[in-house]
Amino acid sequence: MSGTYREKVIMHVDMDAFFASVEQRTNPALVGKPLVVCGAGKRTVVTTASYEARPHGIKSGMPLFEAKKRCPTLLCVEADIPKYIDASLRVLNILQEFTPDVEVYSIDEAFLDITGSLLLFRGAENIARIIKKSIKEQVGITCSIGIASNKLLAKLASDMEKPDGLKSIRDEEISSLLEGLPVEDMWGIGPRLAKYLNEMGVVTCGHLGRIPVHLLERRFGIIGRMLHNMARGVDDSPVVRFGTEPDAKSMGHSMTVQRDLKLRKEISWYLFLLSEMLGRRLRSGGYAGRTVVLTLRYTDFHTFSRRMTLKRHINTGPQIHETAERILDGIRLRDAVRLVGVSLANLARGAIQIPLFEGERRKIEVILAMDRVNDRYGDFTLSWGALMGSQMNRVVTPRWRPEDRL
Amino acid sequence: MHYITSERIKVGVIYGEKTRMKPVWFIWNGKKYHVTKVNHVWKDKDGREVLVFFSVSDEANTYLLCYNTLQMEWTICGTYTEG
Repeated sequence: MSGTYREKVIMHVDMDAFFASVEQRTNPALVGKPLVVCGAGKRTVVTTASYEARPHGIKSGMPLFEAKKRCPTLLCVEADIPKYIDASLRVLNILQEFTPDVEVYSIDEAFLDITGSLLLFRGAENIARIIKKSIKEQVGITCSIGIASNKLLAKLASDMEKPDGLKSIRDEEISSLLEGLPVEDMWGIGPRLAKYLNEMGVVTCGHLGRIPVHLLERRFGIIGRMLHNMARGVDDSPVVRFGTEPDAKSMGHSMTVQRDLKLRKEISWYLFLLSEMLGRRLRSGGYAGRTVVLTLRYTDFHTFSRRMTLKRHINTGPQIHETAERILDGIRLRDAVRLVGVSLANLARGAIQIPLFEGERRKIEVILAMDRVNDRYGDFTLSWGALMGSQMNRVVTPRWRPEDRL
Repeated sequence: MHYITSERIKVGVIYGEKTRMKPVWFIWNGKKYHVTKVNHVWKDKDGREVLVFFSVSDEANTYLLCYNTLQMEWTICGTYTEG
């Protein structure tokens, strides 16, 4: 094995077309066919496309109707979140056999710091091969693994030979690799920033890395230095071990509705549902927050948010809903609404104070009793009359963590 | 996936070291189905109840079976179709 790494050896494990792969494993009739996993309802988007669908230009986030136009034989499976959570947890168990330093980046990606495991398992590439084999045998799907001296380069490496890839970037390869790498291919540089850089004449990481850092700081502020480091493959961020992540800063739920909402009372009902879902998640994590954010999207896709910060922390559905309604009162709607979202920011743990008045205390007791019933018999077993018949759709956010499993 | 309102069924299971629970046949609507492959297994929770789902195939079709660990009963949830 030739080549060297700096002090650390970091691995990025990225499941290949995760949701679609799990569905093809579950239903053999889907293997080898162009397939997307999408949400329920007509107005849904592609969550994941199988590798057979991707040559048709189908990508995550694409509206389903557009994907079907691009590929008339496209098969569509409604997302089954518990199945993917289960597969993700099984992958996590495998990764933790090699090092305790596993960072769950999302439901289908993880970083590992394997510096201390190299001797025991005879090298980084060997660890990667064993991980790939174990995931294939125990979960039935493939992954791509990148190995480098930091998270930035490890993630770049895993993307270079998908699917079912294994790629190492040695220290001596970094300069030549980044010299010609388009800036938009670097993790952390999105399409808008890439376009802005291109317009400045900065097309590759080589170009970006040669710009003096003080010029980047002058143009981009605090992220100027970050861009400079990224272009040179420098990243000191540690692998944050699962279970030691910092507390959430905000939490929310949003929903694209089946038909556009024209009446205020229709929006109000969805606000109530989302507030109830949000309150349950907050209480299960021990969080409460002070800033309620209401997000609406019109039928022309214009999206906006309004917020209100309270004097005290809250975490029940009725409290969140009441504040969201007050925010809605201050908005003059100019069009029908297709998406409604509610989130709570300024989160803290253990911030709920025992109410002074008995009436308020009783309300809290009722909600906690409802939580106990729903914990035992399933979500929405007991709920408010206005929401009876509703279902709580489980969500997987980009920042999903294993402890989010309800 | 073609969904059936969960129907209770009788299932023959092998318990082993590596595979733990492996359904090998089930009887549904009076007909016996021989499982040739267990495609995927996963768990979910509904309140306190832990449900274990098995995607299994015979020579012709693929089926979704569910074992409720609290009630200790098997149900068939559906048959898989192409899309």
